[in-house]
Amino acid sequence: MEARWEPLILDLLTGVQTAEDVKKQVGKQESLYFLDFLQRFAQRFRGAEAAVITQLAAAYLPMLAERVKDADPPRRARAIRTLSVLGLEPYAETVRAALDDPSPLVAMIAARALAGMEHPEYVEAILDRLHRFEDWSQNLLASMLTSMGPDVTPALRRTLDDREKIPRVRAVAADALRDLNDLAVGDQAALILDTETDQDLLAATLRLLGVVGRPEHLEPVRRLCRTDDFVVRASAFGALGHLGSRADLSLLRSGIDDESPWVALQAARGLKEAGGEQLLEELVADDRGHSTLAREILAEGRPA
Amino acid sequence: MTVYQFGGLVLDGFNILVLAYFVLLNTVYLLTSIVAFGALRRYTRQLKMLNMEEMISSAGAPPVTLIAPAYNEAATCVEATKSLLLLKYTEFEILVINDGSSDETLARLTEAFELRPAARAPTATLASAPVRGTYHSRRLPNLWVIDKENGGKADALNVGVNYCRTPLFCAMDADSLLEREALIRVVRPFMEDARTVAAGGIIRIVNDCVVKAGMVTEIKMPRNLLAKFQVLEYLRAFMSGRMGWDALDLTLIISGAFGVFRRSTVVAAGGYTTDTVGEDMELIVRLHRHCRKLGRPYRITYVADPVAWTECPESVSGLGRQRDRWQRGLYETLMRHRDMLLNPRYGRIGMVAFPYFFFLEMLGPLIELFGYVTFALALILGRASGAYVLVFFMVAFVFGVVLSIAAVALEEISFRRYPRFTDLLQLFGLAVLENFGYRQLNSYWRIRGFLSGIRGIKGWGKMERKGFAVETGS
Repeated sequence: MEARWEPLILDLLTGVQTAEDVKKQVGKQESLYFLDFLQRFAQRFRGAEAAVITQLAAAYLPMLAERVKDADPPRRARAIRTLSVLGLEPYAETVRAALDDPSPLVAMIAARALAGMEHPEYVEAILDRLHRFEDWSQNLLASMLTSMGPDVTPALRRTLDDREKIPRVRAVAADALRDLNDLAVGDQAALILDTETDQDLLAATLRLLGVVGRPEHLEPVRRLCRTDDFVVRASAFGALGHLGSRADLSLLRSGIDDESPWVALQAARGLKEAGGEQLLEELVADDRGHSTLAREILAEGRPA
Repeated sequence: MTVYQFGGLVLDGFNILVLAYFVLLNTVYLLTSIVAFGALRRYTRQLKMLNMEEMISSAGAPPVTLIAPAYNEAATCVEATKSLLLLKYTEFEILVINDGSSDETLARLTEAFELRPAARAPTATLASAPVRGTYHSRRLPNLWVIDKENGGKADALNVGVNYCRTPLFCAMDADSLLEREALIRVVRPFMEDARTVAAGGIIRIVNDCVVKAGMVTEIKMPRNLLAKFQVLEYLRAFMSGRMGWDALDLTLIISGAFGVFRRSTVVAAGGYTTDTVGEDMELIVRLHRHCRKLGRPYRITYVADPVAWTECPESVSGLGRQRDRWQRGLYETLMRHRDMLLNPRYGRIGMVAFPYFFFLEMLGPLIELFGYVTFALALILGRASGAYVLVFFMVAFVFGVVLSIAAVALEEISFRRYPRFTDLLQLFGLAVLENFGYRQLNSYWRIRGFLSGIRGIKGWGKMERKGFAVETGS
């Protein structure tokens, strides 16, 4: 079937055939297969060509919208995926409703489709259901939210602050705000460092502060450089390297002696960033314990 | 009762035991094949729904370190490393571990990639042979070579883990060829399910395939008969076996030729064990043990379409040594963790997967080979009824052939890597032919490996490599 359809679509795109001509050559029983083919074919094109394919598909989409209610989750997922490629604008509400689908996969496909639209109004709907994607990678979720653009930062800030939400969701919001470089969130993030205890949330907030923080946010960062949790401690040294000044060199230097190699690595990088290259040179000359790490960090970023 | 009569009864009893073994073994294979069919169908449908490759390449894929241990790989190490550099993945680092090679492996790598000594601090302290030096490529910022004293593959992997800086690492053989999308596909479970601690892909046989610029460009059935049998074996093992076991959440093996692991979990579990030749399986069993002991939710999984191509032995002696080593590794792993056998504390791993490997995979070859002997004896002594002969033939041979054909069918309906009709005919023919000699030879090698395990014999034995049929690309 696809071998028959491909030349038809190419003829349509080049104006040799009209949409009506093409439709006449697709049997009624073949409609869903045809849509599936169009969905894959459409992804090769952008702009005017993509619009022609979308228009052609429009007549078949109501049939597909019915499939969103199918009992079989893979079929529902496929329907959502096809709607998102071939007709998201008119079916955006159908896709939004799929965020509540009992299958997390269907819900994820719907969330990805909505995030891909340039409509930040859907961010609340996605954030409200982010807990459903608890098992998905934090990076992937943050990246999905970031793709919605800077207009979503107010909603992300609210989520970061919302103690009703699970810490992991707030951590995802923190990572997205960091990727969006939201300079206005610094005070709020510093406050979270003072009040929260969850490892994921603290580490993400420290990463965020490392990018958007200011010197007045340093105190909680310095405090967390001495916390028992090595993941949080490593993130704190990373943030301290970005934000700190020469006054923090001795604290950063002490981090290199940390029992965790990850903390030592972050502290050494932070030391270099905060202007402590001299201290690293001394560690190299000392040729004991940390000389390898110090040599490595000094060589980072230098031309080979 | 005379001695002759008593001997006859023992023979009959053993023949019934052998029959029961074949019934049980093939029933398990049948069940895993059925489950694998459903799982493969779901998987291939899901692949169409969610463009994971696009998602991973655009959205926060975790960085991965590829750890490639190399011991006397001067002939292939440069090409193999180049092929790794061509992988499609957003962020990855390659650590080639020169495991005290006595040939020119390090010199070849140094020349080809302009390596220079560069400091690199380890981030873990898994025990290993001493590291002699760390080298960084001047041209390729993501390529490092760690030179160490010889300690074996597991030891080299431990060094790689010690120097790994990413949340995930990929353990592989230096001569494995990964398909370009293999890394994206095998990382998928880590993206979908944060509990994932290990994921393995499928191993396929590269003998006589055409390799261009480190990639398999034309898939062909090998010309060598032993290699052909192994193609069928690998299809059966991966398409029916591992896929089925995985669908039941019972994965107990991830091949050492290609697997991705969560670094922190492997370090916490103690890394690779260096005193076994089955370090790949041992690690998986230990990860199960470690996570269950901590009561930590985890997932160890198999993915059907990320492919690593590997060369298989083509000589009887080479294949014999490999199977001996595999069986020894299985024995060492199962005996080391024998307290998991039928231990409800380890859930379905202790109650189902472990007993399967213990009784059917480890002890099975003994029963099978003695079964052929006693069956022949029963025929000679006239103690086998026509019905028994028929049932034995059906269960031991016909059932086995059907299962092999089912594995080929699973491959055909899902990935169809052997598109030629003649390849398909060959595979079906091999499913019949392997029962007459090859299977028995395999049982013999596995018994030899089992006995070597009992005797505590160590070492990998000589490895033979023919090399890939390389076509140089422009």
